[in-house]
Amino acid sequence: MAPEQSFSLSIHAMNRAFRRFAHLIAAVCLAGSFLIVLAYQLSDPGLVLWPAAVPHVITIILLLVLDRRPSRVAAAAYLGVGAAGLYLSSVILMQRLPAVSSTDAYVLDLVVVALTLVAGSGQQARRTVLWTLGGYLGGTAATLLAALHSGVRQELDRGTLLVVVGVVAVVLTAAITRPRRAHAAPQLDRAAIDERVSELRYRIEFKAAALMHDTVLNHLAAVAHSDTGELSPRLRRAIERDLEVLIGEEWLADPSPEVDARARADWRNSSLYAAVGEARSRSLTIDLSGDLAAVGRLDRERDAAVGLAVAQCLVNVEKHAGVDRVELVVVGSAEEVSVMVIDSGRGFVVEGVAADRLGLRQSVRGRIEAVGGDVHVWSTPGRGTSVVIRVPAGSGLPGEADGGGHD
Amino acid sequence: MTDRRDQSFQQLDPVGGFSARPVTLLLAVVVVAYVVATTLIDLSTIRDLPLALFAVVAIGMCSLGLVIWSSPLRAPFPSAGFAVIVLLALAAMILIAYAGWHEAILVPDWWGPVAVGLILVALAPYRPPREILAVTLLGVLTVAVLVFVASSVRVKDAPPLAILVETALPLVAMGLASAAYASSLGRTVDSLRSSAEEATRAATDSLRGDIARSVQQDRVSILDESVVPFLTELLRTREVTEETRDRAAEIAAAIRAVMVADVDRTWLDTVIDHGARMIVHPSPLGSEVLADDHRLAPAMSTQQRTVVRAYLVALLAHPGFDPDGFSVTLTRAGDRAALVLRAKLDLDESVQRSSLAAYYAVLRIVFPDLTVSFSPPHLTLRFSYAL
Repeated sequence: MAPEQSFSLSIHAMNRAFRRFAHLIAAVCLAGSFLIVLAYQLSDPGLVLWPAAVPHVITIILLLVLDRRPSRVAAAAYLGVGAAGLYLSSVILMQRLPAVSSTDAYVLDLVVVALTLVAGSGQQARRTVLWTLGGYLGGTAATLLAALHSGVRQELDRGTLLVVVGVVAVVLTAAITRPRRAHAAPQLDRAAIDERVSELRYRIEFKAAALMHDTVLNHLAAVAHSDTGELSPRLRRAIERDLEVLIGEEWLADPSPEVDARARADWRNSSLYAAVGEARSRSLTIDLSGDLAAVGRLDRERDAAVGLAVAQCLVNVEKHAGVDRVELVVVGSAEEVSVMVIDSGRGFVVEGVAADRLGLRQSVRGRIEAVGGDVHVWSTPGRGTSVVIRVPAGSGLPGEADGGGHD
Repeated sequence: MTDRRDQSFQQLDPVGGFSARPVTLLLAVVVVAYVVATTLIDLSTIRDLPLALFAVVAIGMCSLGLVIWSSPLRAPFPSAGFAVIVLLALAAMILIAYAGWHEAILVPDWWGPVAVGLILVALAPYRPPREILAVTLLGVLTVAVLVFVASSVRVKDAPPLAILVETALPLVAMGLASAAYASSLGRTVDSLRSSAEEATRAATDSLRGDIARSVQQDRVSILDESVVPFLTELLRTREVTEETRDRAAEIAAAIRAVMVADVDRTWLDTVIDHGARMIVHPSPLGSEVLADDHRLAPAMSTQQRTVVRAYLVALLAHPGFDPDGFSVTLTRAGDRAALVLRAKLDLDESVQRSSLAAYYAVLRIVFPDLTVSFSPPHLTLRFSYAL
């Protein structure tokens, strides 16, 4: 299944994105102010303006630190050092550059805007607003002090004031309307979990249905078609096993994964293990359960047939089911080994499979029947598919096999 | 699956996109207010008033477009709408520059780059970062051409580089920051998705045993009723009679019927049943509320099911929901399934402002042809999906 569950972002992530937004504008403003100073310096090398650009470099470095590791100390350092740098730059430019004849000079306004966009380190709108106001007041105070020091005209810049109002308005609007978001997001995440539980339940129900069909229903049908007289020993044994399995055990729960070293070796040497490994390498998630060591009881020919048939089933899941998770259950008895491949994908109408679709017909059914086993396919459009492969345990030619106890 | 970088924040996180809308509306108002105010303040510098008016109107249309196309009922924000807004904004920037050609051209009060920058900020949640960056670049090039042309017309007492930086800076800053904002949110959505997927998987896997036991209990109950006594008796007598055969066939048919009924139930039946159990008044939902004769509900993707599930839970739990008149109908239309949901909803506010609005934003993302009509108290939703 594609990772599409989450429908919400945390407030923390939204705040981080806003900080990134504000800091990038601040960085461009500082770089812009730096470039303007540089442009004037280059146009008139006689004026010594470059020292006015040096504080900008330090402020940009502090901005970078604040962006990467936001904290009150980093924000305070950025504002403090930035304001001091702005004071120095302002004094130099006011005294040496005729174009800067008042506090309302674009080259200085840009730095005030950069300080205004400190965005703070906190998660709360109130704190962000306070940091914004702090940045604006710090920047404005620095230029006013420089104007007093240099004896130039003091004017309030309309642009920077608008930036302050804009930032505060955006932060407050986002904070006030956030509850609307908070209402829907958890519901969607809850629905994602419910959907997954529902899928899991469908899959387990499918497994149960397949088991019921292969046991009780088959044997009831066998009884219904039996001749009058004594119950055949084979059918009797099969019914006894049904009752034991269906009533006496938790047959749908995953059994304990504890297996001894020999069983583990049997499983790892099997063709089925190789088929599972190959499919997993193609990013298919396979949930294994049951008596995996039972495949060790298959002879070489049947082991290979089961491995190849299951490999084909897994390919079918990948190609047609539209899911990336499949369940594989191994059930073993003294007489036979069953492997179930269960998915909760698109499913299909079994009778509707075209005659030229050889995957299931040949690679699965044909192959298993050739070694004396049988294959049952359960599928319903929209509910998934369950393929049950059963082969006799032990060795022997197909004709000599005991029929797998299937009626 | 589409590359994350080709998707907008609104597409990646529909609820997040929806929650960004108030800020979008605020920016839509701010940009018009700023443009009108600046034009009025600088009226004396404008040579061609009709041209300036055209520019202001163009920005007004941009704002209108932002308001309309960012609506949750129109999500995702259309590419055509984005193109219209961007072209109008760039045209307005050029028009207002020409309207003030002889006087105030290319001073910081030229509102063109600021207006385009603000519009890009407003668009950030709705379009992929690459598109925002591309428009930023286009805008900067336009500004550069205007600066170049203007400097040949009128000489300003400043170095050309300084003029270019001054004029282009608002656009560059806001454009880059908008793209970074969208990109940062996109990356977070990605990492959040993987951890949410992990958490959901862990949460459901831990329930696996309980679910298995519950399903087994259901099955065992069925078996205990008739099968177990019958088979136990058969094992005891070891005798097959005509009566035994008939009884075996009868029990097999009954079990098969239960299994078929189980298989025929879709997830939508379950969701509506579950929702119905939450409604304690005034009357419960009947099974007839869902018409899905062709079993089309299972064809929805996991994501589509999740969103519909969440919406139905929210709708059925809505204080204004009236169980009378609630119906969901699925019909086949070629290779698509069409769903029509009808409900009676006692709402004092518009659907767009209701607590359900966030769900419409999400539904629109997964069902792009969703239409919602509300003529109180009748609510109708229509959408389709591929089979």
